[in-house]
Amino acid sequence: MSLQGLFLAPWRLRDLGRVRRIAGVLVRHGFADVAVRLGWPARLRAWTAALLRRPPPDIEAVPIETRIRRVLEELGPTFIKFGQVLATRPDLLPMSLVLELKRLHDHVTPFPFDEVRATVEADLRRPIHEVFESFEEEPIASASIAQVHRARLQAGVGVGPDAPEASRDVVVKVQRPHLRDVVQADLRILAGVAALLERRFPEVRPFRPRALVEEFRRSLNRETDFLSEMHAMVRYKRMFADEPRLFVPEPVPALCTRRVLVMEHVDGVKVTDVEGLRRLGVDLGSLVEVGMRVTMRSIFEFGFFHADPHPGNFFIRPDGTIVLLDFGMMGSIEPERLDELLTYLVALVTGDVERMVAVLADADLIGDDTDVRALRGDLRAILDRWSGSSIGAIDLSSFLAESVEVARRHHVVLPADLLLVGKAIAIMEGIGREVHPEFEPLAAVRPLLTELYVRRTLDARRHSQALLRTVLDGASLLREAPHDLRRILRKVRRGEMAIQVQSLHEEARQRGLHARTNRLVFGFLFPTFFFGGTYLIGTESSLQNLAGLVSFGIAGLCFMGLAISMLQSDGR
Amino acid sequence: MNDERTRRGLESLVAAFLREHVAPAIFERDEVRRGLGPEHLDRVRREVLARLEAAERAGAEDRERVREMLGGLLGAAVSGPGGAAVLALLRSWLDQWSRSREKPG
Repeated sequence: MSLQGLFLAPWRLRDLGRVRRIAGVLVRHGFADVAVRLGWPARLRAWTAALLRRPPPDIEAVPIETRIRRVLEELGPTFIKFGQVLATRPDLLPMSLVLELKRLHDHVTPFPFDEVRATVEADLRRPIHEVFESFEEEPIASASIAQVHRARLQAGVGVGPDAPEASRDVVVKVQRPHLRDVVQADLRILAGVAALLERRFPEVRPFRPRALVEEFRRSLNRETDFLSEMHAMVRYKRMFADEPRLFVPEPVPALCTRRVLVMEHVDGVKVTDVEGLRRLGVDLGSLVEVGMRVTMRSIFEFGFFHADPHPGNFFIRPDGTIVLLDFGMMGSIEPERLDELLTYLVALVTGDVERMVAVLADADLIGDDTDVRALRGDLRAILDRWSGSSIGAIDLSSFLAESVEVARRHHVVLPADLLLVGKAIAIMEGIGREVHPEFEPLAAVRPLLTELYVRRTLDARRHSQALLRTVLDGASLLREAPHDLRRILRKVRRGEMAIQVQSLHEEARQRGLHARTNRLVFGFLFPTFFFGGTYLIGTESSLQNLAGLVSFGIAGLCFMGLAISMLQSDGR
Repeated sequence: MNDERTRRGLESLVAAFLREHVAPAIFERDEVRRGLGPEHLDRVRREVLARLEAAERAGAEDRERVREMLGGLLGAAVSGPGGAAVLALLRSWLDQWSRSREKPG
């Protein structure tokens, strides 16, 4: 499907306006060539460029990375989020682009209170004053997905009658109006463009645009569903029931919908307000240690972690308790992957290259074209270089980034969950260093990781549950195997067994066949019309002369078709 | 199959296996020793072993029940000669392992 197809395909007609807007932004930032390569007809391009202002003449002087960032910012929430996801893929994208994308911010103006009221009342099916005793019209925070307001619940609404009085003070997160519609349209367009890119831009194929968009679609759908966020809060709260220095606000389930999230209000100081924290008498070293421990446990003990732990999502209460907010973007890791990841990271922080490579191989991440010996050598070079530094001087995020860069160089495509883990650890390290400059990330992380690895490896409950699942699966397989085998044999006996074989080169072969057929047809038609024309032209009948000219014209077209087909064939 | 006693019994069997056969190797691993340091290693070792022993004790009475259930389940699932052979092997392995554990010292 070409971009032209995006315009014409009936099922995408509803996205027409949005496609035109995207096309306009692309042209304005000097990406008209992308449109051409996507198969967008030149006439349409010229028309749109004229209509949507021509790109500034000096646009080419702006670095391409900056232009990409500006395009994403201009296209709004979906594309900003997409850029933020891309910024977590240093294994796939050039570092210059990753660094530029990290600068993406969703500067958005708050939406009017009337729309807040409309959404809340539509979702809660009651007038706002029946639910809330007060509701501040000015938001306390505003972002591309939603904005947050302080409010106070009416007595007896949402929380039980015995609930403490303070629990009626809440914050209400309200989704931007029509966000889901825009996001869904953008996701459809992104999926179409990704498919096109993969087909028409061979150099883009290794970045797996379709898989990236699919990954992004899942993540954004979760983030725009506040019920999913509410469940994440509840789960996180339960996971850390034994961690007295972490606090997750309690949601009010009766008042949560896909677009409205109500949770208890918690006061605190921003984690980066170091002076404020000092005034409260908070022990900064211990604070950072708790933050790192919680992050590590959430990833490696539970496989469910906060994938966006930026400083704005942390508040500190006067007693030094960390309040964690915004559970929209969560990462999760399958248990098998968790074992691999933990083993890999323990090997990384303890300098065991052999084990690192073995884990990558076991996880099927090393492709056929990877030179394993060179990969091992490069990993060892990083570890050797870092091992010369004192443990406190080691910058964990650079350490991880370098090993990801090595992986990219050797065509090891790392799974998205692993990179999210890297991002979460790097952000925590950044916060740690900002709050407490004496913080030594690797010194803190190494024993934590190793301890988690030991506890996980020797966790009898986990192994017994896995064993039970295997036994049940095995029993089911054994029970069904004779029956399945009998069915297969019966089909073979009756001659009903069909085996479908699909050649990987079938599509290319089909294209070649079409081209050869075209050449054969043109080759046959050209002499027919040419000699027919010479026979007809020069006669006395003007009608025959006209027919002769038409015949020459058709012969000419056939000749052109034949020439183009042959040239294309040479090009391939 | 999925009731609490079965889970406890199975966990007890697994805990015993981990404590006797896996834990010593894990604590001897180079990366574990380097990653934890002597004092931390000692603390983690004590905690993990205590936890495994507690799991062993908690399900000790239900182990036999788990063996029977596993046998019964496989017996019900397996009717062909291949399955019977697998079952016999599994039973003999479980018996041998139990006997080796009951030996004094």
